[in-house]
Amino acid sequence: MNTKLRHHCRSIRLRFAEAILDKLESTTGIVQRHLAECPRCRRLATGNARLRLAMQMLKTQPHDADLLMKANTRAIGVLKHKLRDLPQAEKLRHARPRVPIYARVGKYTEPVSRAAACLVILLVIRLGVFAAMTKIQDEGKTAIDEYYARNLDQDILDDLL
Amino acid sequence: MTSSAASWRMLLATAAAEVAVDSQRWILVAMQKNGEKIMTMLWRILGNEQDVCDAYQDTFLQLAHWQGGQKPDNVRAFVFRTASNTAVSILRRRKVHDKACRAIAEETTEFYSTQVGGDLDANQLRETLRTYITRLPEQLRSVILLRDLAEMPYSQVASIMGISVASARVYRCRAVQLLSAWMARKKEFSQS
Repeated sequence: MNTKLRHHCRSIRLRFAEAILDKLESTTGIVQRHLAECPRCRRLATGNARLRLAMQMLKTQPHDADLLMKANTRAIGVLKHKLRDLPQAEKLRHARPRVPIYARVGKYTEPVSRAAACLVILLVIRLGVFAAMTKIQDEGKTAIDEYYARNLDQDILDDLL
Repeated sequence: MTSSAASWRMLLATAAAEVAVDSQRWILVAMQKNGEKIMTMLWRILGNEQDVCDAYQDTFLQLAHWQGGQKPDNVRAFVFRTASNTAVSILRRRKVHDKACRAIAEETTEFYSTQVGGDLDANQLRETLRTYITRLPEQLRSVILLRDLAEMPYSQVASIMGISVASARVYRCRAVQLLSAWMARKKEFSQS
């Protein structure tokens, strides 16, 4: 391995360490070019990819909705009797994980965005139609004015003559 | 005379019990405040309901009996550190148990025939990462568990561990480097 390549290794690995798990862009040109040449960093990149994948799998592994309830019930079970009988303890026995607001709202985003798009289209159509109608009306009025102005003059002239 | 003394004693005992309950009510408050996050962290570390419940129970039991039922200065730090340490201990015990089981199963050769399908890789990957996390030095492990599995900001991680935010970042960076280097070792990866 030449010295230039080795010099790059340090900065590349530092970038990896920063990028991994933070979803930062690690596939910039310089990194890609270096990976094509350096087998050690390529191996490290493989490790990073595996680590990221494994971490995502750990985070997304689903559990029962009543796991918190079960855990609380068991934990409260070993506390003092008086504590177990408090209303607060009873509430904890029936606690369920709170669903984050973005997850709750998430299912409505698509229909809401479609409805918004429809509204925008309707608004644009309406504005367009009205603008066109006003334009047609103006042009028609101008044409009639010109016609009358032209013909009225002739008629008046005819009558006069 | 004796009956009035007895009634006084009973009254005092009841009052003492009430005071004790009031003085330990903070445990329920701590459970309410941190329970969900702790449960999520434990689930991600252990991936097994029974173990999660065990670790959770153990955490609050330790909290209730800390220095004769006294309240720690930083309850949040106490519960998170206790929970993560308990979980890692359980995980280590489980690994030893699994290793012994695998050794027995390999002899009968039935073990691998039952593990077919798409779940194998995902489970294997998760278990490999769990194994490697237990192998990390304590400080690095705590940072990874709190920052990545409990999804806390660095400021909270630092306050729980009693270190600066910069140190927490450095520890995480080192932990990630170590983990990815271990994950890159293909031979060990495929065996674990």
